[in-house]
Amino acid sequence: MKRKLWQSILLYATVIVACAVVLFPVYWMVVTSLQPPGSLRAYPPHFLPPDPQWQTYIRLFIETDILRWMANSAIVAVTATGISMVAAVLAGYSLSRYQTKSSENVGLFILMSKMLPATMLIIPLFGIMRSLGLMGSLWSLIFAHATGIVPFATWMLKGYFDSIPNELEQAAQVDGCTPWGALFRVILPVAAPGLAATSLYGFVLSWADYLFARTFLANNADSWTVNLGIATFKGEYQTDWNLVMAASLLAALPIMIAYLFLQRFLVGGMTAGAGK
Amino acid sequence: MTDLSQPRPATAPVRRSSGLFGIDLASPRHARKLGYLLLLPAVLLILGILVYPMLLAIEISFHDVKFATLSFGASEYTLKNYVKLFTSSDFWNAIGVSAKLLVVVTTISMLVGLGAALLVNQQFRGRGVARMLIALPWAIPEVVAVITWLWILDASFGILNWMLLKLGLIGLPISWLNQPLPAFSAVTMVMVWKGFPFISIMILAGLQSIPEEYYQAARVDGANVWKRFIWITLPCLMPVLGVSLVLTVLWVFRDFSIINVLTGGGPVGATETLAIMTYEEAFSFFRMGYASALGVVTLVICALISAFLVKKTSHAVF
Amino acid sequence: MADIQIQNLNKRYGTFQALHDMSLDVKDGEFIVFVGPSGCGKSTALKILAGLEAASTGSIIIGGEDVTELAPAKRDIAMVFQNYALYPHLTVRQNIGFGLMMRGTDKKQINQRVERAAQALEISDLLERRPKALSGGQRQRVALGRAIVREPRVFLMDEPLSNLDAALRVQMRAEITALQRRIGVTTIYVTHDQTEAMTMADRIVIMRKGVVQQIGSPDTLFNHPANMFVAGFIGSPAMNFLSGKVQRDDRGLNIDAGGLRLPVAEAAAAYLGKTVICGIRPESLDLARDDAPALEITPTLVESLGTEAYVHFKLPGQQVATAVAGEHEHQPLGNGTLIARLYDVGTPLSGGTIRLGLKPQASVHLFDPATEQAIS
Repeated sequence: MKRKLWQSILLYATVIVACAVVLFPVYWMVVTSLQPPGSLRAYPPHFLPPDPQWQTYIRLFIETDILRWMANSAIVAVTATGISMVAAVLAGYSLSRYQTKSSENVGLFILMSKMLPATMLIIPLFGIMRSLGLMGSLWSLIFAHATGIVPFATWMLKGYFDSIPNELEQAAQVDGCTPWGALFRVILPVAAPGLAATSLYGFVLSWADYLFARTFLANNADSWTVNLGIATFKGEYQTDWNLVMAASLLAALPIMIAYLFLQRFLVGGMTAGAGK
Repeated sequence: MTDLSQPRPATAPVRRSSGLFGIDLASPRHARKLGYLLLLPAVLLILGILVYPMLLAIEISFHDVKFATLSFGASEYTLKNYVKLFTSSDFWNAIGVSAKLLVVVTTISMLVGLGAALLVNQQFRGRGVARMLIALPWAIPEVVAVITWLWILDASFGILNWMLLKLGLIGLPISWLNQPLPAFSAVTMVMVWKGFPFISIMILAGLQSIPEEYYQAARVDGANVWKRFIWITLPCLMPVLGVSLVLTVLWVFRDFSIINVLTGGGPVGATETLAIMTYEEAFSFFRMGYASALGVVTLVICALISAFLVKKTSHAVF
Repeated sequence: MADIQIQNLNKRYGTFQALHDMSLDVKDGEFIVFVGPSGCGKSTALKILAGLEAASTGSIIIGGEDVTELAPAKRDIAMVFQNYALYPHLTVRQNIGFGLMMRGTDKKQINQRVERAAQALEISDLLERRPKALSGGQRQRVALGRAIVREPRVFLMDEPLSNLDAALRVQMRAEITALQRRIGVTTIYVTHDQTEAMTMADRIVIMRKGVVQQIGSPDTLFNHPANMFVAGFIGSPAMNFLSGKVQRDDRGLNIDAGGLRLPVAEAAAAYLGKTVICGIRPESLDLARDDAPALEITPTLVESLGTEAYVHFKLPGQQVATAVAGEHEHQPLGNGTLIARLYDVGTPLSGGTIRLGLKPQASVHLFDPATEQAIS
């Protein structure tokens, strides 16, 4: 099946336009952050800054706590993803391999819990975290995020495990592994792409959270995450758009990079988790 | 047939293996127990952080309280919150806004998502890069996305107004966030931009699992591009589309960050969804009982929508 | 190396009885084949032997030791799977050595034993590859290597040849048999293919719907099938079944089957005057002499294979559809046509009628139409 020339041109043109439209906000974020303050309001706007202002970023590091916010976000995202992956790997494996009527119901229960609206849960959670003394502590966020990741991660991983033949761990068990050994020495290494995709999903979910951070951490500026920090910062530096965009870019950068590396696993992980 | 009935040996030595509490979970006899044990961490997390708070929220919604209580039956039960809710015009406004947003954003996101997935599923050089780039907004935190859009939508110096003016589509700059319809459009725009990539990723995964033989067979049967799409692609994608639809609907219905940072629910409630209203009542006005009632209503609607959609879409699967 | 006793093994899934009171004594070094159509319980029995599934009741004793409750890892067995179940993330060397590593064998010894096993299977030059880069036959060898390197007490093989193409299957069949004879490890081999069972086994356990039908050497099963199922399952093409009435004339007890007079043994006297089912192997039929009584048939199809010819024909009203053939039950081979397997036929057969008679020494198997058990 050979494409005609005009079809090829049309296809490439569509792809390029689509990507350009989708990526424009990201591009504009980069351009604005390098714009000298004076040319932010230039008319017509500069689509390429004539004189890139790298010191905007230096100013950002000096004037704001963005590095600490990012560190907090990273701590929360890594820990929450770690905790949720342990729970989701075990649960997904169980749902894939030890299927019984009642475990199927538990599986459905896990999936259904994704339906609960966070804006409802946060009201009692606010009280619970306060009574546990976790208000303002990163742990409050870690637990909330970890639990939020578990349902979908469990189902993604279940789908992935389903695609690995049963005989593999049976062979491992006959070869002398315990069920744990079979899981850790055989199934998990084989499922590595699925684990990568699911971890990325969890990490993105945690890093992007604003609702829980805003509710649990607002009173303790030391433990702000990057989203909370930027939202507040935006309120203070209303018009310093170059600074705000620089901070935004930094906040988005870690997961954009993680995404670029792991994106190819994501599609596979989704097929397993979402398809059938 | 003599082999069938063998004399049993007197007693065979039995090797017992010890394990946790004397139970060897590796033994075939205990496989099921191991299965349940593996589910435990996930179930405990969900019970503690999702189910217990949910029950508390339902409990609180029946009390006239300003702050969340952590015990059951602490004070008098009342229907006051619900009565107030159903007679409040704000509540019905929020329901209307939520419904409108749900239909508009979900429809556009699904169409854009499907289109983007079909586009990057074509064979062309640089396809890998295109796939990566077109779904990039998925990886950008909502708050960051919204702040960037705030700058793009800026009434006086925003790039969008400049472009629209240049193209002659508008005569005067639009004050995007201060008028009801433009504000609603702005929210729609940002939500679609942020939401369609996930749908694309799911659909792309679905597209890749359709066997190429189907298309070859259809081509042999003389089906053109459009017919192949209608008779092969769509039916094969139904399960994925169903799941994407449910996830998108739930996301739009419950999302807080985008609207909160973009418009805060304004102007004059034009973008105030149930989620925004719940949060405001709870943490701006500290009417937690009332807010919980709102939350419970949100929950019930979510449950109804997903039950309906799951039923509808599971039909499509078979 | 060890003997195995299977005692009154039962397996239920809810109300479904997958395995019904199975008992078997396997001698040390014996090659046993479990054979039967899919769903007959042969794989379930093997999984229970391996410890991958729990028995509902009954016990398994390997080498005098009750292992019923023991984890697979502690049973000292090796298993070869239908899809080989090679670890995709490990090299061939690591695959074969995995079991030894799990048992704490030291590195040097693992390497030695892996290389010896690889040599025996002629896969020495593949040791550093991953399973993905191997052909089906090579994967099969690696799976075998993984089993033999541990020198276990028992080999369990679950349809190990069914993923190979026909030619390779014949070759590997011979190789596995030779390997087993050489190292003498007690082996239990599951297959749905009666040819594999007949060519490889010391003894065959033939099963249907969870129930053992007959246990015996290939010759016993072929020459003295216990019931119609065994008779129809063993042998290819399958045995022909005809119904006929037992009668007595001056030459003794016989059955009249469509013009053919089948002499039968005195054991059938109890059925005098009643209808029974006669089993005649396709090989037992031959072209009849002109003066002898014969079946006058019109072939529906003649398959000529050079030295032999399969003649398909029908006998309306007399033939009994065979209930079983091949891997799947209730899928009668050739739509209930009867087959004669004729050797060295000089004249062309197609067109016109053919007169078929019974070979002089051929035996006729008789079955009770109600119980389907052999009459003997």
